[in-house]
Amino acid sequence: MSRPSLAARWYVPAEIQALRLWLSVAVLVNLLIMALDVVRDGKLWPSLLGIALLALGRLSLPDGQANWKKPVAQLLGAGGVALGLFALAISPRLLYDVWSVAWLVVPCLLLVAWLSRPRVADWAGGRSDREFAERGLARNKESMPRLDVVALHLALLHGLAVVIVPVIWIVDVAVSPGNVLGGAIGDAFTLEHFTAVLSGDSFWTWTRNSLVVAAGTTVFGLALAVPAGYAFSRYQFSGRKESMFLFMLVQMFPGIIILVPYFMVMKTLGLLNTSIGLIIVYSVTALPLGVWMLKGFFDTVPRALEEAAVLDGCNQFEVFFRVVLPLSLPAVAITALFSFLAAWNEFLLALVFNTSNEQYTLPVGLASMIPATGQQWGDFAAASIIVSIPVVVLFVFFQRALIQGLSAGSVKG
Amino acid sequence: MSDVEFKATRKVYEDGTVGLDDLDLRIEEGEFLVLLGPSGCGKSTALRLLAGLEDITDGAINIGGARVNDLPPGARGLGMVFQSYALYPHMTVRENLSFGLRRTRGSDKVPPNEVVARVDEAASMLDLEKALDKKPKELSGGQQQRVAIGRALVRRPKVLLMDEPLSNLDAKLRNRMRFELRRLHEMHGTTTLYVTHDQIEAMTLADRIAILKDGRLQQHDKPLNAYNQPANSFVASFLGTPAMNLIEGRAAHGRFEAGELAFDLPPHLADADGPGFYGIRPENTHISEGGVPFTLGGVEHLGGEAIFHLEAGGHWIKALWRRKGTEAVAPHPEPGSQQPVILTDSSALFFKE
Repeated sequence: MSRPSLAARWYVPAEIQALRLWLSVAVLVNLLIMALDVVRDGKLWPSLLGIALLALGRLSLPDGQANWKKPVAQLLGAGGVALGLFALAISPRLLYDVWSVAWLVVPCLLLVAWLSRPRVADWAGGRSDREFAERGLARNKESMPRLDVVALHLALLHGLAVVIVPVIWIVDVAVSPGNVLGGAIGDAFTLEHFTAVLSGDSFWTWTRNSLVVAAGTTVFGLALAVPAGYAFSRYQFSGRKESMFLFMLVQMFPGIIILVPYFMVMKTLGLLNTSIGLIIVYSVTALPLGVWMLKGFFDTVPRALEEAAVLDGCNQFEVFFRVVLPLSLPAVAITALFSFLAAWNEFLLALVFNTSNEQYTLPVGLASMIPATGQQWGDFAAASIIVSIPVVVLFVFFQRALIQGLSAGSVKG
Repeated sequence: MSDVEFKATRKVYEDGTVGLDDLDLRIEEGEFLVLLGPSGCGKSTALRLLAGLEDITDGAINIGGARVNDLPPGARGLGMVFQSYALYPHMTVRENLSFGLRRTRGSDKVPPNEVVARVDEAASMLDLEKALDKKPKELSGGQQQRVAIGRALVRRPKVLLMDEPLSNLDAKLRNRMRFELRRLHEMHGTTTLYVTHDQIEAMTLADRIAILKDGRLQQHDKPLNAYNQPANSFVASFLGTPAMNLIEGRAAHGRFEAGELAFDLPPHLADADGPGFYGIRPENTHISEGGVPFTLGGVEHLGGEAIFHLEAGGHWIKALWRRKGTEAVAPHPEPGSQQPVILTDSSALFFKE
């Protein structure tokens, strides 16, 4: 027997390669499903059997040499399909049931169907002549990307579902009449919760407080972070490295640890129950990240640009405001966005520093809508949606700033 | 008056490195002076000191007779073309060109209509009219280069500084811009200080060349003088392609000896005495009957020219052959063969250092 050609040594049909990966993933997902099933109804055996079939099918995938593997794998696959259909028949057939069964049935179906394809069957039967292998490699090159795309989108859909299901739920609760958390999606529609929230005085007070605090934090924080970042980027001074590190160090403590010292300071200064108090605290908290981000961006602005500006007659301030800052707008915008969001969403400090309803920010206000008894879930959900709207708008708005590569093409070499 | 004078100018960096060591150099009004040297020789330091981008440690720099040591860069009346061009990426070409003019104040203030006129003039001179409303990143490398030159020129600088302005261009464009730069200089007659490590740029552009090494001035002369009468072996080896042949040895009684290699000195060097370098340019080194025997190591054929690599007594030299008239190719002696080489051209030099 002659040595197998290079192509024959490398050729494995795309279907087999895909099955090797997908069956393994299916085993893992079915393990997860098994765990969920145990929590739901305590039934273990259908999932366990399914996992066993998938795992054995994966192990008996043809390797191009052992002839017995193909029929065994197909038999296991057929068993998996039958088990899946039976499990579906005895289940209440909710969306979840269909999904979990699909993770057993689809891989098993693919196993049966793909192994029956003539080319795969030939390969499994040990065919390894050169022409067959070379054609197969060419075919793989075409079909592999398609299979990859399918797998990728499947994974993305699962990711999307994880993200979007809570949102759908919240929206459903917000537009459902009464105070129910369950019920089918989209079974009724009402805007009563939105009306209730928007017509209450408290909500507008909280919104005003949140806006003042978030905007104040952004402006005050930037006013500190921009010059600090520039100084760290451009000037050499004693303690430069140490203070950069200290900035990071502050960031490493969990918020709850500095909560008490902050409270004492605020109390001493008489800043409890004021917006200014929150603005100062938030700015300080957001400062390290802002300074580091801006320093990183200023570092990328070439020094030659500043030197050119100096020769064009600019003083230090003009160099900064006319050349460096316009080029750094994307970084400034992102820093501003982060400061705003941090202040807008912060809960713990706002809760501790503010004791009167008049000074509540939105997160604290929302939390106060959950009293010990008689939760108003509908109002709460509606308010949550309204509160997140500004954040969404800001993100959409600042996305452009993110992408702009203003500095591209300015300096070569 | 826009002559420039370095007076015992010294620059020592914080870490103790000497960037520039007692430089005495005068650039006459309207002169095109090229500062030439290998990297780290102090040429860029000299330029940055003159521009005011770095502080002088010792000595003085005068522009038009006035000491500028402590003047801010913008007040020195300079235009500078950066190696990276350093165009403001967020401004259009028009804004880039006018930026400096719009920064003028007080008695130097350039009125707005004058700004527009000067920008238009620069744009037409540099063929940038169609690019005026574009951003730098939309321009080709050559156009960016011209914007950088235009930005330096619109301010009508007393002195124009250029820091390796051609090094980012491809070879073809570089040759064309070199010619353009010389033409611009002849049109405007602006005193120019040009920094480069490229000796061809130096030879073709300069009225005079100043060659630096390790922060010290080696020679300050007209290009051809520096080429024909280099002050020392460093200058000799730096100017010219291929570089001058330098053989280290000892001269005595009209004879030069370098180990196994020995030959009679030409008559004009008969007085040379002591250790030193015997220098002869490859184009004056001929393979011809009656010469010193060398072994041929190899030949590089360049088309119209060929470079012969020759060895004797451990010393490698080059001989340049140029096509004359109808001669099509260089002679093809076998590598390894013995070749007689005439080293005693009347242009040969002897360097003590």
